Amino acid sequence: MALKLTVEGLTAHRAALIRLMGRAKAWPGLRFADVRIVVAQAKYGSALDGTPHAAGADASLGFGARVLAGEPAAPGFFGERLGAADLPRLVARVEAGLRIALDRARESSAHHRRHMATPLGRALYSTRLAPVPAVRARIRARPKKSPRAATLAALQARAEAASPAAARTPHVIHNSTSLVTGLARRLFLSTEGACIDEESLFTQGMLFLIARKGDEIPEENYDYLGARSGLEALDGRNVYGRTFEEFCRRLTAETVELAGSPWCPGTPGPVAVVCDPHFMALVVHETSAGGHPAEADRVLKKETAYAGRSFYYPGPSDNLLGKRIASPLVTITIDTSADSYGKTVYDDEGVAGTQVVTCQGGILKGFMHSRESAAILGMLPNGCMKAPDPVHVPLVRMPNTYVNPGKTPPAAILRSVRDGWYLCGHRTPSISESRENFTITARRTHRIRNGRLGQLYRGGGLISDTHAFWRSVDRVGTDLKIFGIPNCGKGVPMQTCPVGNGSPTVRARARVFGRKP
Amino acid sequence: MTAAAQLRRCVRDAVRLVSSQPGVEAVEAFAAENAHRICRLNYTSDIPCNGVEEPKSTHEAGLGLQVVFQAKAGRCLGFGSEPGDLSRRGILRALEKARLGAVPDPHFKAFPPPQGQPTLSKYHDPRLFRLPEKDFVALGWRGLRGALGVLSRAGLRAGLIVGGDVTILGERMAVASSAGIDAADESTICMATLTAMSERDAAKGTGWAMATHLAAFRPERAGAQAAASALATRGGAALPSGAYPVVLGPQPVADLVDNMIGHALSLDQLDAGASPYTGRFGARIMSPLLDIYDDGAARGLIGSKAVTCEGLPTGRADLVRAGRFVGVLASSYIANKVGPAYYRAVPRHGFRFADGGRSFETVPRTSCTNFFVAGARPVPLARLLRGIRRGIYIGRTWYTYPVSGLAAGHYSSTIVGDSYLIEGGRLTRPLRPNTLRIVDNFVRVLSDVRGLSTRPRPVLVWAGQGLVVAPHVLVPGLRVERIGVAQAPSN
Repeated sequence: MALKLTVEGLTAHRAALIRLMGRAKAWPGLRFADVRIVVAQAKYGSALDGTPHAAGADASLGFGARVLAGEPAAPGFFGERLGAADLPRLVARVEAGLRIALDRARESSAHHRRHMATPLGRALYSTRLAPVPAVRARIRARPKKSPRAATLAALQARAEAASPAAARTPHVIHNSTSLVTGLARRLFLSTEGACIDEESLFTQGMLFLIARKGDEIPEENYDYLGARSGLEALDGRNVYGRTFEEFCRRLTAETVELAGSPWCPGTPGPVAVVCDPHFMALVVHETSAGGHPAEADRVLKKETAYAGRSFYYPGPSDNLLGKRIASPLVTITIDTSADSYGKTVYDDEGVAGTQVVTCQGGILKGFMHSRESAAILGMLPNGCMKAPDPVHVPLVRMPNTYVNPGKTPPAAILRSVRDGWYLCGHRTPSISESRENFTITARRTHRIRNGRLGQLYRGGGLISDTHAFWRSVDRVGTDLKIFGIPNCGKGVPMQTCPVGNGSPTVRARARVFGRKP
Repeated sequence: MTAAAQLRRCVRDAVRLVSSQPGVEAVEAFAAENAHRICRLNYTSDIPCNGVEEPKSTHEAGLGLQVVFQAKAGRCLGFGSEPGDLSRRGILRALEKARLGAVPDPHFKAFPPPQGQPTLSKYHDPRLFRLPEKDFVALGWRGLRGALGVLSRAGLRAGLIVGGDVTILGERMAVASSAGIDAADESTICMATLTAMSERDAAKGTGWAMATHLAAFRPERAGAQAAASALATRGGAALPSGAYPVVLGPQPVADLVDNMIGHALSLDQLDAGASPYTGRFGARIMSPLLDIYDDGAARGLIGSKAVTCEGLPTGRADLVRAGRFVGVLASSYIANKVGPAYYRAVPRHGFRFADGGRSFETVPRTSCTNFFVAGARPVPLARLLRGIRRGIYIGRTWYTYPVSGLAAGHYSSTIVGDSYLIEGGRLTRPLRPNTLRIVDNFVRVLSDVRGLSTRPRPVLVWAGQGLVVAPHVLVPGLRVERIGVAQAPSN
């Protein structure tokens, strides 16, 4: 039982893995290879209706390899989950994986060559990656309260104590709470000489609950609190500035209040709407230049069969680059250094994270990139390639993205509306395939009359053309907040990636969605 | 791949070894190996591309233990897993993790005892476990070639997209417990899901191919089907908002199943009060034309398994019969928690599905296998269409979600391809993709089903679990909203 997986254990294999990448350069047909080896240690605790449900502490090891090979160059990949028993032969396992990826790339290249001569084969190209510096770096995580200091008993006790069941909250008919905290170390190596050894942290608490009043339809609600940090994220160092327990109390009170509220009637046409930062986080995620439409793999139509394309880019000669996509008040930034779930120093291609404006004063300036998408579009890679699990192939992912803060205090935005609606908290999206229009439901919808909040409704949301919504923005608040969204899905097999999206309070025009079931 | 016999030996050894440890009351050992190979496709006629974008794979093997301990706090349940080591050392490491995380879960009652023999055996294709790399990569190119051949013969050269994947999955598992379970299973799946577009014509088509054996697998047919559907839907028209008579094709029905109906009929959601059908067992909850069941033992379908991940034989579970709520999807955990008196749960749905196989790293959860939407008096599709003067045939939807919680039934879904206008009882013109969004209530929609077609078809949903076998379904008044693209002004 001596072998144990720890982040420190990777150090013993580092030099041999670097030598392996040096040797791989000489393998026949290989033009480029990179590999990500990740060790992650995590602890979790959860409660169901306030009673103990599950707890654990575990570590995982896995790697993913990419090879470009052949003439024309074609890609091949391999991923494998390993255990403590595999540690002594880690280098051999990685080498075996790289060789399988090489076989696939060479084989695909041969097909590629044959198809290039066919009428539709001219689009097939020899895979290129935009050049980036071969970085050698070691980045250590520095939590204020280390995930490794957490005891399972303490995590479990907090999950139980934060449950609405612990406070015997009336009307709550079901709830579950869970906490997870962990530390991961990723070694990124490439045949170009990159060697990036980066640690990262993740801590999150979650509450799911259902409340019911009388014979009314139950109200279901859930939300997350967390950060790319240690346990301090549960103690108030998060976007809410609240402890996990306080976060759960507020979400419970909100859900119970909603359970007795009338259903949102909706509006027949566009009206003045004020959207709080939490609601806007999902609007940014789904429809903006800081969200899915600006991911370059969608722009290049690689997600057509799955998560969809982008209306920003019908084609190379017909697209919205340099054109107006939003009101002049809207500037959108992608920012890998911001303190949310998308925080990273280097991405899964070894590209340094950046702070890049993709929409400047309403004009589309650029996209989020991989090295390959940047090469195809003649742009610069910007550190947006991520795979939440090392065995999977990285995809272009929004890291942290947000609408830059404006000049109007949020209270003044509310006061500015004589007759309108206030949407708080995001819930569920339904988006057209290229993101050109959307329906996004809110947790709470209030009537605004004469600058004051009125009746609270459940089941409301916005339905709008994307352009129309963003062009109608006429107030941007000062209260920027970036929320962690833990479950952004993309690719096949589906990869669920944590990202950060945010915005200040925004005033715009859109139709309010609603209907009694 | 690890031999099936080795997995079986491992779980038997684990039950013997763990049962002999101090403080252990009961144990369930699950070992699995999954080899998941995918050729992800991406062809774009106007943008440089790789054709076969990602020939890739993931592989995992290992052991998971659920252990009941007698501790000072009382009876505690713990789970631990260990990848890559099926030896005594791996078993002990998993046991240590299970002991460390054990909690007094009051809802856990017992591991299930054996319940009969599985009806499926030797239903997999051993060749798929050792498919050479060149043959695997060739399958991806065959899928792509199927689509490009149709598009090329139609004379199209620009504005074309072909995407999707060709997937080969080999799963082996064994499970044993101190309650007497001793079972093993091997299954293989070949799938191709392709999308083709003529982007200039706003036309999108979908094609599927699935088999349990390589000899029956034709990825090129999925490509050709997708391309043919894209060609057929060129030049689509848009419709205004309103309530239309619609015929939902098998994919939109599968989308409803995967995102709502399956959850609404799962005992976990019913017990939590999250389902619109909570408290309605025995009542009529859908149109009397509808029968809904799950059958994990249906021969030849890719959702089939001989045993669940709890070691119980799979089989047919009737959920809705003639519109009446008669059964639920359930794992042993939730069936025991709720008790036998309510919902009459037969725990045939305790699976450990993860992305690409049966995972040893998780405990069993309630999942579908082959989910059938069927019913009384099916008629040919042409007869379903015949009575519709002006309506919509909906062939493909996406982002189909309950938007205000499952219990409310509200859902929203965008029509993205393979769809047509129905005029005078016939399919006439294609419907332009991304111009209509369904905004309705699935409880109401299912209550109002007026007809089903013969010849149901198996369908896969992106990131869905299990297979859905669905016919075309007629609904008289589905509410849709017109959505469109506002033109971006130039600078």
